[in-house]
Amino acid sequence: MTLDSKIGRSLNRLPAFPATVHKVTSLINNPDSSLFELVEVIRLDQAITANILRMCNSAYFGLRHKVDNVHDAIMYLGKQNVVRAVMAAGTSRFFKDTPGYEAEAKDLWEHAVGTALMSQILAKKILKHEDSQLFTAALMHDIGKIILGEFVSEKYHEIKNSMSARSCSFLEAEEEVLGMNHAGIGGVIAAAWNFPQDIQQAIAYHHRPDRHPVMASPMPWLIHLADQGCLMMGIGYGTDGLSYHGLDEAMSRFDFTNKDFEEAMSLLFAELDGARELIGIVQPKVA
Amino acid sequence: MSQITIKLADAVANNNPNDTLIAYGIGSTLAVILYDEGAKAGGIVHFMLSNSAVGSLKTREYPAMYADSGIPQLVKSCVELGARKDALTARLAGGAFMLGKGISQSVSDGNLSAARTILLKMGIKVEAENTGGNHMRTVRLDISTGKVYLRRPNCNWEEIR
Repeated sequence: MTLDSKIGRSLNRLPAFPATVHKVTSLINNPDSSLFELVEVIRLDQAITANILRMCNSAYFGLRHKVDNVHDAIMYLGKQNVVRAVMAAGTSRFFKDTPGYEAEAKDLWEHAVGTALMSQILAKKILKHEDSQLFTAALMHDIGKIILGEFVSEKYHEIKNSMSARSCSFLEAEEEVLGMNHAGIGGVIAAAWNFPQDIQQAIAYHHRPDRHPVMASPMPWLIHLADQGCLMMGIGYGTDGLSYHGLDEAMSRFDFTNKDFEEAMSLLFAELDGARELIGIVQPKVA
Repeated sequence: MSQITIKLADAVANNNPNDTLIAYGIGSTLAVILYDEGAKAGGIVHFMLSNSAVGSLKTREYPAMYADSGIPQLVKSCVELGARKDALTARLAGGAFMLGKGISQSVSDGNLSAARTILLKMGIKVEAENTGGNHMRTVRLDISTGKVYLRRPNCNWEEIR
């Protein structure tokens, strides 16, 4: 069996994405929907319900009394936090150890949450508002690694050799040896899971936003910067480390200065420190 | 024998000969490892930025996040454990950056140059540096010997002399 068809077979075996997450997102974006409808949809997924209640009762939100039902949890968390909590609870189940990148599930998850939080810090500064779609895309930006990991593991030495011989990035070496890279596979997974095209493309182009067909879209650029900040800080790193391109244009196109970026990094550290417990309670299953 | 983990934005000194200090995930950040051979005391600070002036009120709760506040904090802690400031020596590890330079190189360069300047001003000699490249690093300080070891992903430990 060729490598292409082996990767294709792994993609076909990918479990379905929980429908609850898409339903919640569309209800929250619909001004005519009611709280009752939202509660009913969330209640259908036991794992998501349990995680939302645990999040709501964590020290992060600092509530004085225990919340024991979805209705109250939504009231306390607010719509933006409900989308994030549901997305985190729905997505975390897919994170598993990825041998090729020498990253454990918890590292990949921490990197995903770190990048999602950083994307919002950057969005607040650059776009002047937070963005739930960007949060989702940032949370899933490396999802392709869960499929590609075993193939990277098999061909690790060839990938390393290609990097040294061509002085290229890990991404380009993946592409040469495996015929595809983890960002592209991530875009394919997002399409299979019925995420909007903007999210698919932001994932697929997060390492090379300069190759994105619609250069005007800020999403892949912001994820590129958020990912870079997390790699620099060693948040959930793998064996690929910092072997990627850091595009200067990502800063200049937003008139973002080095000082702005350093300030964003320090804010991210403080946010992650505050969110430790929150990250920990959505521990993904280790495969 | 116990192993004590130094997290990012953390500075820890120690003089227990049974202990080892270890800092994982050093990317564009920098670990400064100090040791006084006579007192058999030392420590590690793992900071991420050079200058605390970029921080807000919220981030100033973490002095070891910055070179200019973290390094003096570690020196003070080492002295409190019996080290002599003029007998301390330093080793530096980290400062990796991405391809195409950009912001990661500017942060790494800033960290490295801040560490050198601050240590020079404090009269602390830098014995060895292992910096640059685009790989992550882990460093370990054995308190009983003062030896510092470094590991890259998929590689063995090597001593930084």
